Amino acid sequence: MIYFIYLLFILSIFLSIFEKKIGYALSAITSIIFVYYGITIGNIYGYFFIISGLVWLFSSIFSIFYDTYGRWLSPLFITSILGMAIALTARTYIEFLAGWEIMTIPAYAIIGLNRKLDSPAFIFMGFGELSTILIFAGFIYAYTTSNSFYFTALDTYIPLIVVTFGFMIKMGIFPFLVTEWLPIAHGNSPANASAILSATMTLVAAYGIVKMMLLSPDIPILGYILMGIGGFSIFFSALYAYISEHVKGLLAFSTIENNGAILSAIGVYMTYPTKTIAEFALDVIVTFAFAHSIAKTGLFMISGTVEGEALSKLKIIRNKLGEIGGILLASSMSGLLPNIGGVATWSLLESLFMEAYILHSTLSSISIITGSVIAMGEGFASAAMIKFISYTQVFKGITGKSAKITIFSIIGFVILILGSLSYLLFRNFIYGVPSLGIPNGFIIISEYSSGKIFGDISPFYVLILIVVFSLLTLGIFGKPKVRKTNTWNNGIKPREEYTAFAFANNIRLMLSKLLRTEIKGDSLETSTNIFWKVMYYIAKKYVSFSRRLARSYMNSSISWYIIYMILAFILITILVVIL
Amino acid sequence: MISVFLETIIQAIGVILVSPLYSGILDKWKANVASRKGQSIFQPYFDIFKLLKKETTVSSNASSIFIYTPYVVFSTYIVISLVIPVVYPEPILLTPTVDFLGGALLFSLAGFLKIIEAMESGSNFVALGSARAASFSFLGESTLITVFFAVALITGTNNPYIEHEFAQIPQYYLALDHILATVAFFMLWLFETGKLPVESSGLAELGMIDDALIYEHSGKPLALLKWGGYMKQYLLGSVLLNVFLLPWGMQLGVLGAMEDIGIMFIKWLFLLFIALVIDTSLAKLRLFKVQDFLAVAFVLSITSLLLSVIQNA
Repeated sequence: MIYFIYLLFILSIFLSIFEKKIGYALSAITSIIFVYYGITIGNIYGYFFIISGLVWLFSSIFSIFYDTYGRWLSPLFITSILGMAIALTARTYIEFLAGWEIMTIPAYAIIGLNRKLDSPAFIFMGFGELSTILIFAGFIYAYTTSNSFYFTALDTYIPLIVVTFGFMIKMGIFPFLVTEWLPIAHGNSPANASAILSATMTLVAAYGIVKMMLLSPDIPILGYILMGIGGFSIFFSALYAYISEHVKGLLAFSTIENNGAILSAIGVYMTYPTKTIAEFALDVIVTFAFAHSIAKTGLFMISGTVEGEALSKLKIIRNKLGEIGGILLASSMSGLLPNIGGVATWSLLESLFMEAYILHSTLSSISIITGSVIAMGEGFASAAMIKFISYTQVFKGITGKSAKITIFSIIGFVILILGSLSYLLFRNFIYGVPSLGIPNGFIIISEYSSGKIFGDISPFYVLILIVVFSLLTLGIFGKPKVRKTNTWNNGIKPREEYTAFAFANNIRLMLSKLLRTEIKGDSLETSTNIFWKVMYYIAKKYVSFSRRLARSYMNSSISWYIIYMILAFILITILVVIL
Repeated sequence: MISVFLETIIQAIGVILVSPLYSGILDKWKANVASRKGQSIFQPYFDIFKLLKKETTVSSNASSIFIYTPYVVFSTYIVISLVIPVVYPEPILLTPTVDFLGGALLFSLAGFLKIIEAMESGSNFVALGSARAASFSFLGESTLITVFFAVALITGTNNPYIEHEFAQIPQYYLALDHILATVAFFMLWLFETGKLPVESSGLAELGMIDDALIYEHSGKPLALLKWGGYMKQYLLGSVLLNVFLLPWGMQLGVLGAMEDIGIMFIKWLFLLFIALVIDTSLAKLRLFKVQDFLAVAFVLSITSLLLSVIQNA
């Protein structure tokens, strides 16, 4: 079946060269088949196939109405999807790497072809290949220890460590945030490509870590490191998302935040505090992957419905359906119930604090601090999402209709329904208290060992209760008698608006030391992503140092080359003697 | 089953009906301290009834989302009133809908909806208030979550009703980790309910946070938002009293549930007295200093968490 899926994707690529709408339509149909294939798999990997298939399905349909970028976007877009499909279904390391490169190179081409600046595409490719080198190195080591190109159980954890850091670069994890946000924001990547770049390309990386993790022996220390790195990724990326002025850049930072959450959950699994918590953490990974990938696809589609890049200067077409869909997507990304994003946030925090409780030692402080930092990050994430949805749908704009708005609104409702379907993801943690009005099967519990319940949640009941009580409230108090009027804007000209930039200024000023905020003249300047600034500074210094070194000591002088050879000879002799 | 049903009704109706009273009492006391006669303690009820009868003016930018979201916000607080021990000390119907953390997420949901629907008015002034509320949420939400987990790490469960059992061990309430969590939660309560030194209710625009969100509302939606605000104050304050500060004295059974409303009233007078002392003796913090205030609460809650695991390691 999988080869049939590859074949259909290849056919879509060829068709899209001549008629892109047909290509996208076939890609959408193939994605449905891929979802079905994921359902038939019936294990944790199957969930990743389902998530990816759904994202490709929505993105392909959206692209039919969105793509006005000439003839090359569609084949490159579908080729990238083909690469992801190959990587996800790979049985051998070679297949995975082939899929990984087929996924990466078209994405590079998309960014390169739509560039405003040259650097984003090169940075994307540079970091992408750095990640490939690490993954390649990890796979080679895995091959040398297992003597097999197939993904099989390993008796060493070194490949896991190496590939994990490779995949983390691709996920834009702290301090490599630039891998994610720069190509999307400064690279001006089209909205449909941004959606798959952000939602599924990073998902393939998370899948890669999970796959290697399940084949490798336990390594708790790596788990604690990942937990901490994940927590800090969430905090910084959510903060940068909030202060970001770029409509897609904000979403790219939000993706890093979600990847950080997935990484923290992976960390909890790796530390393996108890079998029950580890199993729960696996479910958390899948739930977060669902919540992030589907909602992020919808949010990138919103970015495709607006004109402009700076949030403060967007031209917006809005309608009520779009606002409701957008609010649902934003609330899920803010980690709020009853959406699946709320279930994901709840379960991640529960797993971290359960670990802290069960360890009850100084090691607990790692999960406590990670959990607390994540809680802060969630606050920023909510603020970022409020800002995004306010300035793309809610606050101002011209009322109108668009098929693109309808598509992301549907995804908003999907996200809401997925919250109530999340019981399917926590099959071993389903419970009920019929005596208190909630039958068996309607509560998700968090346990730290069998029978030891830590917390519980019922997303379906939250949804139903809010709906029922809202209707009751409406029934009791009735509809208001409404009169429309213009808003009083404090005496200033109606055209002057409270901008998206102003919306985040409190934080720019309150966290000025962290954000390196400077007031120059009448304007505020903030350094978004100080890690990239530091990396850039180090790279520049290194280049200048290399140049000086080359000019001074590698200047074709025969005497220096003889000195090098003598030094090398002495060094090798010493090493041979020592070893 | 019938008794549980009645206890549930008493808790939910109790929260809805009694919550505005405490704001009335605090306002009356504040006026008395300022040597004024002050309004009736039932003034919040009069305001709500007046607003429910009034016409609703809506911004030309707004849609039905702006008009009907206050109903959803109000309902979210009703849901919360079923899941945390704010009147009756034992689980009632639908309590397992969410645990303590889930309750915190529901508070966040109500806050999120309130900001989003306020933004739909298209008012620049409301946007300013929304920006402030959003900016402080990173410390507000995180403190709420960590404080709730502080209880979970001590008791081994995220079920807030477990405190009723722990109330039998008074020395547990004198442990440093519990005291720190209580202080953190009290500071958060002052912030979340817009009390001094964080926010002064009124028309002082320079320091407005939460009040700015309801600026464009009128009529029934405004009544529901104000009522929801009273419920939020009651819910958080009652958690502070019943879980952290004074969990003792609660009665069981249907009659006990009715007595509990009276017992809660006495506990609330104590909390309102503390709020009164703070309100009448402290000046309002500058807006950006609110961050420092919340940061202290957050650090206290994390310290409590760390102590709870390290002390018993």
